[in-house]
Amino acid sequence: MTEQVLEAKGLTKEIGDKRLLKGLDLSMHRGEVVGLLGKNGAGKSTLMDVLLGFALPTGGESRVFGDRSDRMQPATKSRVGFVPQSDELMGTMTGQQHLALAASFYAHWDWTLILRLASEWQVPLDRRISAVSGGERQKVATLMALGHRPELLVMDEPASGLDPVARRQFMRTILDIASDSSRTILYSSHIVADIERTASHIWVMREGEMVWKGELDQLKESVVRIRIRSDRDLDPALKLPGQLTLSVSGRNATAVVSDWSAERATEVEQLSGAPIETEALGLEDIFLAVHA
Amino acid sequence: MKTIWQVMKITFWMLPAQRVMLVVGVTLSIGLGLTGSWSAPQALMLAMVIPLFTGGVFLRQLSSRRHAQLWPHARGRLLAGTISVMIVCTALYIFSYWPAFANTPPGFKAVVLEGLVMMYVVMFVFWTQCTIGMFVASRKPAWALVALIAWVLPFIVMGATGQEPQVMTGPTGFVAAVGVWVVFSLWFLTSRRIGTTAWRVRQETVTAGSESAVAAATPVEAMQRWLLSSGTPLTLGLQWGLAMLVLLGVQLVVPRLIGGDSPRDWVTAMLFGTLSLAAAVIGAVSWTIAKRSRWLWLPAGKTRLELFRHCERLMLKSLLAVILPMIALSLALWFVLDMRPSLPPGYLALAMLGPALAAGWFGLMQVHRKFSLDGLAGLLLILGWLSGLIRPLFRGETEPEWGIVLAVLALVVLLREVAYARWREADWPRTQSSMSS
Repeated sequence: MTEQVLEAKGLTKEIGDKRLLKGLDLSMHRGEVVGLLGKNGAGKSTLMDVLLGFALPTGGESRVFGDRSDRMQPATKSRVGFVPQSDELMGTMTGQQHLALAASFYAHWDWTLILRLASEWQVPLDRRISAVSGGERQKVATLMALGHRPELLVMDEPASGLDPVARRQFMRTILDIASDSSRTILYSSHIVADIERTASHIWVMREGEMVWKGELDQLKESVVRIRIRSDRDLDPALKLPGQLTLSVSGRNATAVVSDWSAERATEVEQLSGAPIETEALGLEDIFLAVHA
Repeated sequence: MKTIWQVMKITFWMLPAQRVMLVVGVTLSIGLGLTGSWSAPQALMLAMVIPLFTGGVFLRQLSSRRHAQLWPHARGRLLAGTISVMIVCTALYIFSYWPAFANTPPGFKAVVLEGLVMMYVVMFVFWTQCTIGMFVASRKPAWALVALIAWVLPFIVMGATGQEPQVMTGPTGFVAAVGVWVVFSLWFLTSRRIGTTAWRVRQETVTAGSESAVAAATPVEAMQRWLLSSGTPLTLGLQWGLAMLVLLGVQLVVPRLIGGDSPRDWVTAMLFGTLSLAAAVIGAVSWTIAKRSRWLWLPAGKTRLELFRHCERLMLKSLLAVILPMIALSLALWFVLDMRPSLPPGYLALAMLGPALAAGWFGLMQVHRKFSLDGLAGLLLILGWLSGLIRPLFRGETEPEWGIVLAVLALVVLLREVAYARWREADWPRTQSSMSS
């Protein structure tokens, strides 16, 4: 078993009467790349804030490299890099000055890597932040989180402001980092295709709850689309085990079901009284079905 | 109509401090009005002080936004909203005098009415000056100087032409204010683009690829640079000292240009009152420190309380940097120009320092906001500054208000404890890009 990098038990966060996180149990191991999916307001950013100690949980606890998130030792903090959703850069300073400032905090700062990435990503380091585009700001913020070569990299929608070319370059970098099995990445994104391309594991959140967590391949095997073609009209009130979506039209029905297995297939065939066809789904279709 | 309503909401109800001041001001005003007190209008001013001084700033911020250019007739509507706020506020102000005059004998009604009209004109002129002055000043520091000059220019002209300043309280003043609005409206509605606020100090760029261009910093220096938006307490003190020199210079020169019998005590009170604005500077600095501290949580490798102590030290250093020019300028006024307020020097020093300290910890409290408590604390702070320093200073009182100053010092201790407690369990609010740019 590889080292546990992140862990949460019964993690709850409430603000006033609003429950943002509802008793989450999570773990991440070294070398994993976890893609965090969820609609706006699902609690993704709050989860990252609590996991990294920016916000305190109202129940349960989380740990980073074994330290409680809100009491991380300096040595533990130096192993973590974070890219927030809204950058915290200063408009009056240049990208170069921001990077130099970030470098001051770490004993080891990889200028070679940073300058190489800045050149590949075409980041205008000599311009004031107030004079660069939103995407370029995001790139500077990402470079600030990468320079000390963190073992755990957490990114909150890091590619949302990037154009397709920059996004592809960015994802390539993520894959490069991920290829080093000593590094662990947790990142959220609304661009499901990016997550599908890079993540080894998926966490899906809905209204503060973790509705699915596990390996990407497992998720794809577990959630499938089925087609039922019967020789008589199907019951419009048909209910299938594990159904996420279902549409019945005369003798045909289409459904997306979770926890798919051979036993589940037999069960569905018996219920509908007709043979079924299964079809594998892409992550985007699964995401849409989960949120239907 | 909808836009006018929205502008009213922004002006009176957007920030907790606005809400608290509106509720307290209106409640006090109604209460005092029912007893027939003459203080009802002053209480109402409490509710109107934020709209008075921020109306122009809001107008610039709303009309300079890019998406506002796509709204149909956006500028006209925003302008109508701002003028409506002025009309409502000035009318309410005059109306608040009514209960005190209700029992006036019939023979004096005409005199009272004349007095109310005069006061309305004064208020209308003052509101016009504030709104348009703040609109101009909010563009950039140089424009603030232009606004300041434009503000005093009419008085200089009147002084030079031998007219009494009282002319501004009559039809001439009213017509002049309406004229200013007409000219401003024409420009505002036809101008191609309204510039956004640009009060930040700009820095020269550095050459790409040369890390040496950025001075290497220790973690402590880097923390300071990050928290003070790349500034230092020393530069802050120098900027403040310079700004004060200009402001005091203008205040000293203008009465001479206006001529007449400008009361020396009044000018002295103005000068020391201006110096006490150091509290607002410290409040703004410590608020920025609290907002920017979030990013340091991981790189600085410090606990919440260690970060708090660091930020507190930085706030106190900044306070010292701002206080030193304030002391130097106060001493210069006192000994060189012989401008001595009636209050004892020890009391004066404490009355100026207390609100600055309170504002420092009030800003640090903002690491984790609780709107109702913050609104109340802000209100107490402003009341303490007004009643402990500004009022006795302008009234030329010789008896110190020790009770109020001690209450402000107690508030300092309380705010420090609240700030400490908040930092211990801080949930850093997520930073918005607009805030940091």
